Amino acid sequence: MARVDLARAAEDPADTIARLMAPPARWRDRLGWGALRWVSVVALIAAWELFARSGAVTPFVLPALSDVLLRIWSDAVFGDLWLNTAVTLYRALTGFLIATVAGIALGMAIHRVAAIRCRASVRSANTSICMAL
Amino acid sequence: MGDDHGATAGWRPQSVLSMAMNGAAQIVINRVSHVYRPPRGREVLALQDVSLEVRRREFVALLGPSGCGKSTLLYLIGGFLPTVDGTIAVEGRPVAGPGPDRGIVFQHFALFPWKTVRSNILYGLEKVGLERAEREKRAQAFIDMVGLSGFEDSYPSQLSGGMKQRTAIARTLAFDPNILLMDEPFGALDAQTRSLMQEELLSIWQRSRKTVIFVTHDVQEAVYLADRIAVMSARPGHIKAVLDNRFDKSDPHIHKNQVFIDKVDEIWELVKTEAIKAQGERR
Amino acid sequence: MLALSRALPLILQAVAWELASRLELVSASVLPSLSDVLASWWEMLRSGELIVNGASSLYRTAAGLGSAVAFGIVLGIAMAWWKPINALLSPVVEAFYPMPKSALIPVTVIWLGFGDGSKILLIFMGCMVPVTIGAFNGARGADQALVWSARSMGASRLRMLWDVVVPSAMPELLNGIRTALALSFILLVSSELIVAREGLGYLIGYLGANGSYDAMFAVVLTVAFLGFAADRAYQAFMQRMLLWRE
Repeated sequence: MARVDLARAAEDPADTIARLMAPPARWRDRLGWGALRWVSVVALIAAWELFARSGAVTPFVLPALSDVLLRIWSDAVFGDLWLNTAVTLYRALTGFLIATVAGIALGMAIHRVAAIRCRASVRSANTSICMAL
Repeated sequence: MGDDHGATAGWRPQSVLSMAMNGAAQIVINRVSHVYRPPRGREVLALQDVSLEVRRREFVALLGPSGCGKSTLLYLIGGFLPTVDGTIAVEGRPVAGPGPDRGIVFQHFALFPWKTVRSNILYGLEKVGLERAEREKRAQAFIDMVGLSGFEDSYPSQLSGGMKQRTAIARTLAFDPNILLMDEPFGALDAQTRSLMQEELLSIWQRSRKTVIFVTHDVQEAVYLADRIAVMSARPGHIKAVLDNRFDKSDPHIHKNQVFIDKVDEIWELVKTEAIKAQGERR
Repeated sequence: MLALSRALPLILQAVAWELASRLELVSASVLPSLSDVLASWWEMLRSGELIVNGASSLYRTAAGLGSAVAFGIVLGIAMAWWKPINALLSPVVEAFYPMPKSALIPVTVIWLGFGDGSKILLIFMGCMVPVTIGAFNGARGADQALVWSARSMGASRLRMLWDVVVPSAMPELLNGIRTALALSFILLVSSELIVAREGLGYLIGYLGANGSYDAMFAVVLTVAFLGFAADRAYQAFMQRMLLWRE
């Protein structure tokens, strides 16, 4: 007898619900659902490309995906894609880092103040002080 | 649920014969196995070749160590899990899904937290097809019966464990199912509440005389409540023994009664080996 | 008393602001005095400029957010309920989720021009994501025992969706909508700042470019206050919906 799973895992509600809707035909079904994920991605890509090339819209409104990818590549090799990306990333990450550090420090400070001010509930004190700032 | 999974390898001659001979069998479980397939991780054989018959208006306890599959068996009877291997028939018809003939009570109450006590019980009555006034009257009757008068408009979050379970029981009784499936209903309650609830359940059952299948791991509880006790083995579960448990339970100090104590000992011996096995398996 | 202690930080800040300007600690172009700002705020209110632009902005937010909520709830619950829909759409949603929607501002303008349409589309796209995710997670968290209880009481699968899944999803869904509410204001202002001919964001840009910094700050304060008020009102609504949770 194969080694059995020891934890009495509760079944995921979504899977239960799904099973009540359509009882799975074991592994074949599971393979099917996995493939479906890729179907949507591929379909979206194909739809974009076809719709753009169909002539229903001008390239200004919706350029073909292939053209866009080509442009990305050419900007990366010949243009200043790297420079712009670097600048944006720097700004984003620096701001994020500062916000993270300051936010953690501020949150802890507020908690200590509110803990001392035992009257108001911590959450409402937080909200008002945060809003004021 | 559709018929997709209800019908399996047809009726075996044995079970048909036994059913014909034992005309009062309400639930027939015939050689049921169940494999539990979690979305992640490997398969588990929860039940193996389980057979059991339950007669009308019987109180049957499914007794076994944790993880032996007794709850799984209950869910199969209730139609919440599909019976793929083996057959389960209720009133002669194979189980095809959940239905109002089988009410279920869970260990953690399963009350709608956003509904009041009254609304919870009324929900059970919606499908019964009564008029509005009649439904309200019935709901109130059940609220009174389980001793929750005055708490009709409380939310479950405002109730104690015992009161929540009483609401759950009232809700299930309200739509008058023939069969009551109870999955360790008093497991989440403290010891005092538990014994009070056991007494109340017994008196409710004696009044309404439904078929009850009661899952528990507590030997004393099983001996106190049940007519028959089915002892299950450790995983993969099968019925190890079925014992008749009818004896005079009128003694007000039943737990000190010698017959009772002997019964508990006898059954505990059966369960003990399985419990040890189950302990050994668990992490 | 509690209300006063809560307002105290705000009052202190206001005083500090006024003092900083009066005492010339900061130049008027970096930070005009609070009294000047309030004066121009009042002036814009009287002239109707604030009302007209405010109405335009609020309309766009409401339209974008409203459609995002409606669409997101349906999508999230559908994805949680039917496995094929989940398999089909979750890669799209997951790819869409981390993308900063403000990057799509030029695209919306190309598609729908400088008017309401582009803003509403942007807000719709941006706000749909937290609502969908909230609805999805909430629905998936529905207690299996509740679902089974409802089924045994005779609820059809569709009734079960309405009776069990949607109410179970409420707490997470309502939180998702709260996130979407805050996000809608952000997307509105950034979009109006760049590509609009009216609206509060447009006003901020226009006044800033013109050098009327006190008026610009007045509009900034207005937007901040609107966001705050909207969130507060929504929180009260949430409390009402989740009374049973106590």
